[in-house]
Amino acid sequence: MKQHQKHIESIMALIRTRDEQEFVQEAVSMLERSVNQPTTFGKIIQSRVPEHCAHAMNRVFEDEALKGNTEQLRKFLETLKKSIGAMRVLTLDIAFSPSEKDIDAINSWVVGNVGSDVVLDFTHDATIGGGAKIMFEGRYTEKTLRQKIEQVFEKERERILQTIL
Amino acid sequence: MSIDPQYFIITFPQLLGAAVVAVVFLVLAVLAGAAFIKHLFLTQEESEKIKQEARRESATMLEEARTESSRIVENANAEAANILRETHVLVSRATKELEEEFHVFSQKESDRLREAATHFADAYQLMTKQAKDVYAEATKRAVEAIGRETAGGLSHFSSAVENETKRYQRSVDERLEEWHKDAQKEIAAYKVNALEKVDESIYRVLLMVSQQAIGRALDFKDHQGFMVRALEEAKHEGFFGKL
Repeated sequence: MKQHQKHIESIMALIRTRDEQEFVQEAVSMLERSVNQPTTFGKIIQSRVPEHCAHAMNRVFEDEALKGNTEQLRKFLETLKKSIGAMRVLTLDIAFSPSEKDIDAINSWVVGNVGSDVVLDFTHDATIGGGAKIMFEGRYTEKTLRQKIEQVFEKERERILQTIL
Repeated sequence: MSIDPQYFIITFPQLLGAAVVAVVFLVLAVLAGAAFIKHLFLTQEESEKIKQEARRESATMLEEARTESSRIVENANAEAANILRETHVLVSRATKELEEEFHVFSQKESDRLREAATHFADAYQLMTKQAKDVYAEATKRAVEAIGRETAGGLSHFSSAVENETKRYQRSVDERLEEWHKDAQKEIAAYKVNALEKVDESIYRVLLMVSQQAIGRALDFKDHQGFMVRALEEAKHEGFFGKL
């Protein structure tokens, strides 16, 4: 069981965004429907799961404990599906469209600092300049460049006005 | 009672006489019939002749009547024309006489009216002159009376007017001074407000330009760095801690 939990956490750690969460969840549903034909798993994972997750998932299903034990496999898939569905969402309103590299970097930070059960949801707002507006579990904070510049201007208002007038 | 049968015996002379009478009657009857038939034929011809005669007479009478009636109509027309002519002459004459009479009448009336108008104008002129004299006299008396009455109060009135004018002048000067002060205050406040608005506008423009310029100046690496720093800050503030 401990091994199963480890497998689940390793898969969740690879799910970076809301889109990937949906793809993997859909793939797990298909695996559940094909639980009596484990030989088709590789094909389903290959076609339905994002590439960076597919390798890890394939490795999980090669585990001896899961092989040939349909009932255990069914239970594992059920737990995996529930765990993926229950992942927490971290919404980041950012000024740019993140590349795969950016997503990887941010996800690594989130897995290391917040938890492996967190998926990222990116929205785009160019007016914030840089940084992010962060929403997580009903909380909100703004850590943007726009806000920082406003704070500087507010603090240095008199000096700035004296300079420009 | 019975009748003697010998009364019924006819004698030959009696029979002969009867025969003669009968023949005479027969002859007479034949003659009468012949005469009647002849008379019948004669009457038909005569009647035809009479009819023709009657037609001729009626035609003649009609012709005569037509001729007579034409003559009567012509006479009537001639008579009517005559009457019309006479009437026209009479009317012309009567109209002319009427016009003459009217002319004479209107001339007389005009003269009479002119005379009356002259009399009326004279009378009106006289009355007007009298009224004017009376009015002039009354006015003169009234003016003299008013002059006498007002001469006394005029000096008092003049001083009252002078005092009131001075008081009003002072009031106006005070109000003007107040308005002037208020206006100066308002202008000063407006000036400060306007300058503040200008300052604020410049400040906002500068802020906006700085934000946009700095935002655009960042490359992807910088953005990623800012992102991670934002998350670090949030973590440092306990944003990801348990509620």
